[in-house]
Amino acid sequence: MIQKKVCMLGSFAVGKTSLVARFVRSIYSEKYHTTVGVKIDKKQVSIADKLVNIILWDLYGEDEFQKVHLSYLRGASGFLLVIDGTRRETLDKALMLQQRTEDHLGKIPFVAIFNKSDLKDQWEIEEQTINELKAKGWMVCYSSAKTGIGVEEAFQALAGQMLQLNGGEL
Amino acid sequence: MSDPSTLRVSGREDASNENLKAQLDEAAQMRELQKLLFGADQQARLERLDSEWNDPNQLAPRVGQALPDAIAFHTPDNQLTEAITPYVIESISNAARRDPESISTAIFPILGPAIRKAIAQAFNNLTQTINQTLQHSFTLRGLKWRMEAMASGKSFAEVVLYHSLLYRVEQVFLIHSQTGIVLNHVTADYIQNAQDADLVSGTLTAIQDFIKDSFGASGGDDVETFQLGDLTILAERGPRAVLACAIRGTVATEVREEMQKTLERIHRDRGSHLENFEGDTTIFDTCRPLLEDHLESRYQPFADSESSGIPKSAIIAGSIILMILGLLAFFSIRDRMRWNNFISQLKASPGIVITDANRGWNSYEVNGLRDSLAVNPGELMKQAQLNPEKLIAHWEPYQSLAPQFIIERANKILHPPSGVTLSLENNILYAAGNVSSTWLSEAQKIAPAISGIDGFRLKSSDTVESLQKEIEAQKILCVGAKPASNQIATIETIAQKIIQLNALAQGNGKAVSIVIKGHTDSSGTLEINRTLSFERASEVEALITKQTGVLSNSKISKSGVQDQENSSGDEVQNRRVTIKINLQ
Repeated sequence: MIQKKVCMLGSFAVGKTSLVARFVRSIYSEKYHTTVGVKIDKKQVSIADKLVNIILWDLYGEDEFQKVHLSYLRGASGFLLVIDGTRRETLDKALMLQQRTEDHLGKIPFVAIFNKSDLKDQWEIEEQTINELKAKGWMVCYSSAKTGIGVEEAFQALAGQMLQLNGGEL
Repeated sequence: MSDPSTLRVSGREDASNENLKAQLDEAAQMRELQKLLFGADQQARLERLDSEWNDPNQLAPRVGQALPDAIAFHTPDNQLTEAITPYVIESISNAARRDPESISTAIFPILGPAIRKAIAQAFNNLTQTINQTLQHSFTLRGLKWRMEAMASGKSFAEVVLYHSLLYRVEQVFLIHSQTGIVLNHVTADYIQNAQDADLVSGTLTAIQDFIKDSFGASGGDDVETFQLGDLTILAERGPRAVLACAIRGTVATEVREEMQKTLERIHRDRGSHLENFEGDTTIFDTCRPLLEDHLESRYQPFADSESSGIPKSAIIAGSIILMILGLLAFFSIRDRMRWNNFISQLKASPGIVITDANRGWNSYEVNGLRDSLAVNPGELMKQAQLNPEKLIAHWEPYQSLAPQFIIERANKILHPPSGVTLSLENNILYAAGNVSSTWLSEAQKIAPAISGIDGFRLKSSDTVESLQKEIEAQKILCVGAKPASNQIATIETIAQKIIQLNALAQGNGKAVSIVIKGHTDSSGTLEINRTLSFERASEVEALITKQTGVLSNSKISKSGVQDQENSSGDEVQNRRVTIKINLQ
């Protein structure tokens, strides 16, 4: 079985943990976030008849008090960048985090997840902005922690990217 | 050598310089001389060599070609080594500063064995220290361990460490250090509900990163040990992988040594896979046996028994002392048991009363009372396997009232005739057998004076009445005035029964009156027959009293009578003597 380390990044309170809570196997409590700054979960994805074991490093949401431990990114094969569609500043933070990750690890596959798609009427991020990101080559997914829509697809998309990069298997 | 062309140009520019001019002249002259000596070809070759020598770009490849041979053929002294050492040191220092990761990766294969050797040496020293510390510790546990060391042939330190180091390795993780992904994982059979290895491994890696980030550790430093109660996580890091063991109990040094060896082997065998790891862990399935080897607790012998620190002569001397003490203890215990046995037998012996008994280091002392008829204590000591010569006894003489002693004393004093036996019942001495009236009389007088005897009696199965009937049934036939010669035995029997009757009647408090009556037949005159019958009674009386002696309780009288025959032939039966007994 192929095992991949994937980090989940995003601003504080964008709903990273809630987003994946029902999709991953977890044995640790939330307090790991506030103590160590990361919580390790596991997610199995089947893609093109291959099983990929994703070891998901759910990093504490960066805010003005705590920065992401860059050492946690070491060895990651890809990352999920979670953005709260209702808060514009979370996109700015995501852009900054994406850049910082690229500086630290080089170009690796990632998927940007625009969360809270169930609250579209409250969104502060225009569709045009998202299209610009897509034009830059970003892979974008919409999801809702409330309904669970889009999460599975995000994992599938990321796994596909990672395998393509590593061996061109897709 | 100076370049002549350069000198020539200089000479033109500075013609006023006399010295330079002189040099130019000298150089020109030299070139002329060289042309004359070597010819034009040789001159061109010299110039080419000169040019190569002064051009670093041309010189370097040539020197590079010759340098290995030059170093190989350098003189045996240390000039070359001394010359290049500072530069080598400086180069390594610079490299270590700029790229420590590369240096540590390069020297990792040799670093492990070197560290192990140093640790082994340090541990050996520690073992010696423990030896010295504990070799004088004569605590109960220390002595017990020392005995175990002697019995097993191991050094004392080994036994101490063996008892100190009890642990078990419960889980082993092989973790890719870059990603924190588990490459392989084994769990002991007895571990139930082990957590997901992938998650544990990731978190372990994250915690290590967290600690390094939080406390600013440098790149080469790692958290090697996590401790929670008696659970220890040992993490041994290599350049590409981490080997982590979850251990319960006191962790032995050799666990980490074994982990290092395993990690080195995995790096050696799977180095390229580790370096180019893309997430496929199946390649590392073959590492599983290596990890499983760590699940068992293993104890390696540390040092030869020679290192126990205790001289063999001291051990031998100690052993001899222990043996001597053991033998002394054995003999002492055996002697005590024999002594106690002897005293018990002595106390059980009649005629001996012990008031005090002591067992000394080399003698025995007994005080008490002893009947002269009692057993000889010396004989009892021999039976108890004790030396009688070591007995110091103080015996006060006394007379025991034990029945056997009373009887024995009675035998000594009364001297009963042969065939007569004495017995004691309720303090009455009984004599059984054929006794003479004389002895009986004496015994009756003396016996009550003997301690423990209140009275003396003849013991018989007969009663006074049965004896009376038996005596009265007898008749002694006579020939003339005397009993027939064949009647002597009858007379003796009658006499013996009279003695018994006399004694029994006396015991019953009755007096005996014996009437001896002579009989005649009817032939002859009455006068003659009266005389004859009385004579017959007298004869028998004389014979009986000769047997019985004087009977203190009996009175004997005589009478005579003529009988009438009822039929022919009765005459012989009428010529007889009969006895009549009266009890009063």
